[in-house]
Amino acid sequence: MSALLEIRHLSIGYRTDGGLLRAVDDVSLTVPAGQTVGLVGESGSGKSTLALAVTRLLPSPPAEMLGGAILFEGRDLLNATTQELQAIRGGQIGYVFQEPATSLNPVYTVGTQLLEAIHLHTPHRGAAATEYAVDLLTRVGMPDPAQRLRAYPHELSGGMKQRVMLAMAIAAQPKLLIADEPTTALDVTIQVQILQLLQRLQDELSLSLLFISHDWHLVESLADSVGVMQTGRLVEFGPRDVVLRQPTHPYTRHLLQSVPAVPWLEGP
Amino acid sequence: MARPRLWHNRLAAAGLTIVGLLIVVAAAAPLIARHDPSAIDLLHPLDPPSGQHWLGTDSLGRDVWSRWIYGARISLEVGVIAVGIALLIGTLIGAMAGYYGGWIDSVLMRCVDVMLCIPTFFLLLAVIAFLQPGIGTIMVVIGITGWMGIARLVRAEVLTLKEREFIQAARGLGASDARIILRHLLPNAIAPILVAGTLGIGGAILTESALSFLGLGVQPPTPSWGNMLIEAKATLGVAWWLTVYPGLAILITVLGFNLLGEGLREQWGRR
Ligand SMILES: Nc1ncnc2c1ncn2[C@@H]1O[C@H](COP(=O)(O)OP(=O)(O)OP(=O)(O)O)[C@@H](O)[C@H]1O
Ligand SMILES: [Mg+2]
Repeated sequence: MSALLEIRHLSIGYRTDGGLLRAVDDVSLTVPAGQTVGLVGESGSGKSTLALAVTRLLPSPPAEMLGGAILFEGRDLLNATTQELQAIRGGQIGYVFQEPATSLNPVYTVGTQLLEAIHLHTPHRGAAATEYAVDLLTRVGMPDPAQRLRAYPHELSGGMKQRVMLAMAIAAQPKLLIADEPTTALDVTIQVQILQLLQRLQDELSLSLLFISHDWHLVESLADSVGVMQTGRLVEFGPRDVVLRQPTHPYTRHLLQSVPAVPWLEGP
Repeated sequence: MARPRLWHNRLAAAGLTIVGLLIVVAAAAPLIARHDPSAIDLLHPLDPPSGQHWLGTDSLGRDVWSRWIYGARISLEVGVIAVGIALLIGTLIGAMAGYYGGWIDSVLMRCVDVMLCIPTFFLLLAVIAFLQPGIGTIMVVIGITGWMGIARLVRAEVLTLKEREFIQAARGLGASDARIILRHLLPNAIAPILVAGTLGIGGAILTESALSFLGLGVQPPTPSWGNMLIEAKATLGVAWWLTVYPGLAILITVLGFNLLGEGLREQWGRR
């Protein structure tokens, strides 16, 4: 089992008026090929910072890389050039963010934005590209995919927008998908649909998944291994069942105890 | 549609009408003009308005109506192209400053501050001193001295827009900086840029008139409202029509563009 993504002793700070804030502090974690790593932790613990840092998406200033390494297929992305990073973003590593409502550009149609993703990372052009766009929308379970190409984001529901985001993220058949709370902004029933879709896509495309959430239930149903973050540190990391049944860190136990029982989401 | 349409905003409608008429007049100048605007008729200098010469003649016997109409063409051309140049420079500089931030932002915005410290008219005169006066010069000069406000506006727009999730999403898709600025940021900032441009055209026309009046702008015999005024100065006491019509034209045109610009601003609002 080889590591697709290996983060080693990564530290990231934000330069603020009050000094340097260590948002990610000496974090090491691996995402093996084809597996799902779940990352939990309360708000402000540094999950998004870590996720964005993988392909160097953090705005600098204020973000600063303080040390460590981010090895993607053995290559350190901290030393990658802008061109290399642009090829990897969307090409090898796809992103899905928390807010589908605002993750699409309001002035372009779904088709235009999907085609942009296709043009950036695939050889499809012209009619073939449009055909591929429809194919992608079909794969993410979009009703009336061909008609939807002409829709503007405001004409779609939150769940549909997230499906579009997923279609864009998988356009280039990336190896790793980083999903930062992809269902937090959605209704419960839609959440379940999107999660099932994620799992299906993962199987079909043999994706690795870095899944970020503050919801234990989601992580439990999806992840092979689980990491727990607290104020920038990864306080626990291991196989799902070990972390859930025999957590070593008091913070993990504290989090697990405060998890409400949710009857609607039993494992897959 | 919660907001009233442009047409239902009376002042904006007035602005739109004025600007529309101006464009029609300028475009159809050869059809509407009843004489060659530079044809000299020394037998009929300073004729008052009549059936033959609707707005009278000037001291060289040229038809004021025809010169007035061709003047509209020149004013509009200068206004639009000068503002086009200003928009291009201002948008580019403002977008880069806002998008990259850090030292790039500091350097670019200090340049803007420095340019703004120098009184615009002084700047204009200084630049013109090195160049041959003429229509081309005046467009370029007004453009390169008038982009600072637009740069500030675009920078502010970009600063707020770049925090929006879809910009992060575009970066996450591997879009280059140029693509993000040109395809994702600027199209979302088009409304305030157009408002500023519309307001700017009025200002540019006023500046053109002032420079032409000083003899530094559009050169005779090409008619412009500004240089018509300078020619009228000598005969102010005897031929009122020589000053009133070009003066009114400038006033109404600037008013028209300002009303339209304000109307667009209200229409598109601030989200
Ligand atoms: N641009 C920024 N400038 C300064 N500080 C920031 C910035 N972005 C995040 N932070 C700080 O870094 C820390 C980690 O933030 P981050 O967004 O990574 O947390 P998170 O775990 O994703 O939280 P959430 O669950 O709310 O999304 C927080 O304390 C936050 O205030
Ligand atoms: Mg977050």
